[in-house]
Amino acid sequence: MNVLEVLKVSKCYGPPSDARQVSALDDVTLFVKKGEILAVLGLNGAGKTTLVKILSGLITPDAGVVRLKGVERTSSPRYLKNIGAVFEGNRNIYWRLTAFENLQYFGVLRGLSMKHATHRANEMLELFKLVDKRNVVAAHLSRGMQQRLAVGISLVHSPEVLVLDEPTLGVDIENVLQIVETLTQLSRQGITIILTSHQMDLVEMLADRIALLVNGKLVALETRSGFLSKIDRNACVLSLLENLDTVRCEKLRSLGVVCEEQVLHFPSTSLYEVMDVLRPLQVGSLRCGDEDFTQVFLQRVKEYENV
Amino acid sequence: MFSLFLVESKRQWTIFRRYPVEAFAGVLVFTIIFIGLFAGSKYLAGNHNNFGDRLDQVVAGYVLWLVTTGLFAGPGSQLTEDARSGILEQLFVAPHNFTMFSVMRIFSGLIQHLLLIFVVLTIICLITGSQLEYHPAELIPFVGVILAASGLGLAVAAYAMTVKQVGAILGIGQFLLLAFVVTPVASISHWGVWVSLLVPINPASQLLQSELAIGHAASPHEIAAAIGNGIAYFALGAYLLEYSSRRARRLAAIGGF
Repeated sequence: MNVLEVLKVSKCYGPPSDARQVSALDDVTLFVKKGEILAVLGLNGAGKTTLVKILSGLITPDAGVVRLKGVERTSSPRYLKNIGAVFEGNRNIYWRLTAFENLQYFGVLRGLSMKHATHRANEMLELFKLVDKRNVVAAHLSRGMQQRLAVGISLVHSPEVLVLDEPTLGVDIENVLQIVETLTQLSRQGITIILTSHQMDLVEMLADRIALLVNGKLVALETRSGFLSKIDRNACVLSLLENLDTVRCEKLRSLGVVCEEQVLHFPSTSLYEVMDVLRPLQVGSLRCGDEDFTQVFLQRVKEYENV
Repeated sequence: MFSLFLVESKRQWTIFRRYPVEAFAGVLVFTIIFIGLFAGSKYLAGNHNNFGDRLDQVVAGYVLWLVTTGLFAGPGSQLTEDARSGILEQLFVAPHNFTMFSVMRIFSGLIQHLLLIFVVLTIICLITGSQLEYHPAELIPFVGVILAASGLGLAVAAYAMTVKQVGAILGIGQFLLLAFVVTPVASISHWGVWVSLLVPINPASQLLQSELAIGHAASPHEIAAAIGNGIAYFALGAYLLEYSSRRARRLAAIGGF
């Protein structure tokens, strides 16, 4: 069952008459199922933050529809009661309040009664392993704890969809693992999670599906295994010690090679043909096989950028 | 909304209790400023230092100015601070209208604000020997002052929503407020009565000052002017904040600098 539907959503920044107008999102359509973890990937400026802010009701799209459990208006109370969000770069917490006071405050802010908010605040402290920090002022918590608290705040009103923009930015590995564990647990309980991240190991650990944005366009929406299988995980990366000439570059492109100054990416099956073209240029290094998620991501982005 | 009012009051009270130095520093500064003004005036008056009703009027005017500066600066400064810490985004993804929330926030902080000003007033009265007359009827123009000043505060918050910087406007605004509060616009010329209706806070503050200082009995049309001016500026401020909130949502400017 789809909890969230995004239909033909577009967003531009700047006045329409201005030549400098930037298209942040272009005709994006996607559906997210209940309990699913969807990772939205892309390079800086690809439109990830715009997309998650539209989903959170923080930005009004120029065109298209976002529907959460049938509710369309993203700024309406019915929509916002079902969504929780943490945005990049900020902890979204009151520094001078304790962990418990923050959770209680935001619980009421999100529509809970004081009694219910108090109960949920205690539950969140347990879920995010912050019970012993209950009465510690947020400014005195470690960065990782502050981030866990911020995620706890976004969940205090029991939303069905959780939107996380870079949830582990600047957080140490121990806290990252705790966040991963909690998010996996929440997903099993039926909470839908949409996250953006530049930490590919986090995406690899968590995501059920991956949405890839390139220059505001949704170019791929696939399961994690599907995303990885689209490219040759035994691909080769070759570094040259000198620049390629145009003729060689064209020949290599016809063989499916992605040329990037002195670095070439190509499937291992083309290895001998590529070497024939390159001869007698000097090769600095050659590595084939064992592509990690980051390299797969970069390769997929390049593939679509070239298109 | 009542739970929200309670939790917001609790938040402000908790911060006040946890960090009292900031609040009491304010009390100290505003008292010292008045003592400086008072001592200066006494020196200038020389042997004729019997201020009488004028002293009471100055005390009333000064206290009303303190009330209005807090209400004027509060929403815009809070919004700027919230934008910096990322709280503003959380306020916008909450299922409450942001303008309604801002109005509620002004009123939840009002009691604390008035308590601090009451402390300043008590100290000033003890030092100067001023005796202000309090009557329940004075509450009506006081509400007019609060509404108009809150409206201006909401307008500053609307501006802050766009630029996320209000330091300069707050600095200049304090002097404008002083003029709005203490200038007897209505008695400047025969057009003054009509002009004063348009000046924010002025009809209510002038009425209240004369009630407090010389025991003036307000006429129904003076009360209507005080309340009408307050409501009009409050509505204008709320409208501007609502407009700028929607604009910020459209332009993706919430939380950004």
